[in-house]
Amino acid sequence: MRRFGLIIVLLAFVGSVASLMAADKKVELEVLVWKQEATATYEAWAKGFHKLYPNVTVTYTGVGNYDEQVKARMAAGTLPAVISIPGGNYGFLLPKAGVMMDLSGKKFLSRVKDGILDGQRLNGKIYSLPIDLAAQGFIYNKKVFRDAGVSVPRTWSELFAAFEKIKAKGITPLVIAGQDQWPLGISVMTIAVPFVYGPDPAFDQDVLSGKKHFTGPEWTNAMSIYAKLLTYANKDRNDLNYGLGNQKVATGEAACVIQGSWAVSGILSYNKNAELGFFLPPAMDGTKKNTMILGADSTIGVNANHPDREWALKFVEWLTTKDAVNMWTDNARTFSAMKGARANFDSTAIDVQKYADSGVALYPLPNHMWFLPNVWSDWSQKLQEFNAGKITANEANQALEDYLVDAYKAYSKQ
Amino acid sequence: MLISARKSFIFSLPGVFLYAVFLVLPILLGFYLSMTDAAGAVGGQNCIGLSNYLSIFAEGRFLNSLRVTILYVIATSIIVNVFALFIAVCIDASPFRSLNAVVRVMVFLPSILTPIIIGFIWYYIWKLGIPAILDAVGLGALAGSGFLDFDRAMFSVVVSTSWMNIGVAMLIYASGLLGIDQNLLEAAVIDGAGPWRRLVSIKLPLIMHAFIINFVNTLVFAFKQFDQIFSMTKGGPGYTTETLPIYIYRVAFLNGQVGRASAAAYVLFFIVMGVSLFIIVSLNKRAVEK
Repeated sequence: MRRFGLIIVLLAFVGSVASLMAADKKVELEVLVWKQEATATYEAWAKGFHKLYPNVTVTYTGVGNYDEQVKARMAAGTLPAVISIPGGNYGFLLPKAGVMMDLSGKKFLSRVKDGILDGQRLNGKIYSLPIDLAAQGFIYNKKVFRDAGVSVPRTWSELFAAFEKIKAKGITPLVIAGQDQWPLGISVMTIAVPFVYGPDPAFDQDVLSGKKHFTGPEWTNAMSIYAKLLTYANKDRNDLNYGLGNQKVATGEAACVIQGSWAVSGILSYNKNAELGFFLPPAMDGTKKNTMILGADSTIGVNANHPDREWALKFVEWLTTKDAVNMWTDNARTFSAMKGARANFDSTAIDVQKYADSGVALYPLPNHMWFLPNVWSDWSQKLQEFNAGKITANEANQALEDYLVDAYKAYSKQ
Repeated sequence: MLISARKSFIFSLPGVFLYAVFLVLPILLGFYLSMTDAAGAVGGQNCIGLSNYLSIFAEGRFLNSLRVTILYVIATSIIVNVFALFIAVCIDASPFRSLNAVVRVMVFLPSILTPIIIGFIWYYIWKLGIPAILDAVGLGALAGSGFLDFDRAMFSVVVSTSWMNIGVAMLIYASGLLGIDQNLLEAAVIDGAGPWRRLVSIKLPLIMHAFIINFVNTLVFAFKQFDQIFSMTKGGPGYTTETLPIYIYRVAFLNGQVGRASAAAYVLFFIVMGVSLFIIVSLNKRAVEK
């Protein structure tokens, strides 16, 4: 009996030591990210979470060419515990590969703004937490506009008239930074939304079913506007990189750039005193209700197969708390996807909020399910050719349709 | 003490094993992958024979990348070897030892930087540095729409790659020239041979081995070059600087077509192997033994 009692005590001792060791176990959570604009936020998050859980250290691995990096690490089996995912695009690739943890039903998802989660559902399930909301439009330097005596245009003719005045002052009206390729697709898509996806949100699906074509009137109209905008853009539109493009707006060398609201912090990093504003591309005829792209640009999920997945889940849950959300808005200068988050952190945010409150139609970013990273990349290379006058708008649009259809066929097989 | 053949064989086994596992096996597995429809982590891997090879040769983008690669390789190899040889000959002929040492170091320095850093540096040199200098001397119009536009991106990439490789080639040429028997040169002087004749008829034939090494090195390096070009232009604008390695990278990691990318990689492998062998065999015949 005594011996039995001794065994029980020993077992209890070993168990408590083991659990103590587990609780104090040093954990390093690697988060794979691509948003270079949000570096300050990631650092703030790392400090914040470490303060709460001193045994956990969060490290960020920021990579360019994110899609290729993720695929390479997936093939090598070295994906980290926490993975940042562009809104929508990875909705099916990583979950299909069995990488992402199913977050459906987790209580912390109720802190996400209404309607945002729907853009992240795959077969009804949620595999990543939306972090931010980004709007796409013209980010402009208010001082340049003021000095040129122009105000925010509400029609395309007002916009081109404004550009003429700005050009007369010796300033580049529009900067296009095409060296990194992805900004070109963003620019054209932003202009195309009022022409294409505002009237028909299911346009891509109509193309895939053969009912419509990118060479049809909708995209042709959009590309003719883009071609006219090019006449006001910088000559080095194909080899100016994203950072230098932002710098030009920040310093007033250029009046505006067509980008997502994620670019605001990048622009301000070059000149923190730059007065920035945001306006939407005019609607197709300038009078009808406009359409604004607004959706989750960045989401974060958990690697379901990682040994530290439970800590990763704790970290993702913590991102929905007020502290983490404030860190996002204060540092990244873009909207948070969480309820109750601040929306007036700078002048561009106030402008975006005004549009949202005015009843403008919202087009969610992740709706482009088949605009996969390779489609964006291949299309952007074609846009570089269009920018240089090497191909026509029709050829660029046909190429886009071919890439989209090929991507749909290839990924549908998987 | 003679070691028996059996013991020699046993001692060589670990090396053979490592060679087989880390070199031969991946080559064979990669070749098998090139004959499948593998599409990354998602999807199966069915054997489709030589379909990937046939389809890439029917693809305009692959043929363009082949053309761009050949152009890039030839231009880089010529520029590197001509400039490296020129500098080595100048150093060899120069009586100023301290100056020679400084020049050697300055020319060699770029070789120690990593290609990706060189790509970033040269992007800003072409984008901001050189246009600013041209502006300052009143030649701003030469910059035009930039040195990285459709018409000049390839030229800019070739210059930056060459800058990176001249140093090593120069050292190899300089070593070759240093190794020439001075008696030969003195005899040539006595026979009335001038500097140019001594260079062309004596020095260059005697450093042919150095030329072979340098030419093959620069050729192979240029064929494989990825990070320096990608960090500078991402293969653009359009497809103007999309070499085969960049094409392979995009097809494998962006498009997820791993089998197809492997086929392109093996095409590159066979091209590099064939060209290298041809150069080594044909130039070896011209080499003169010291």
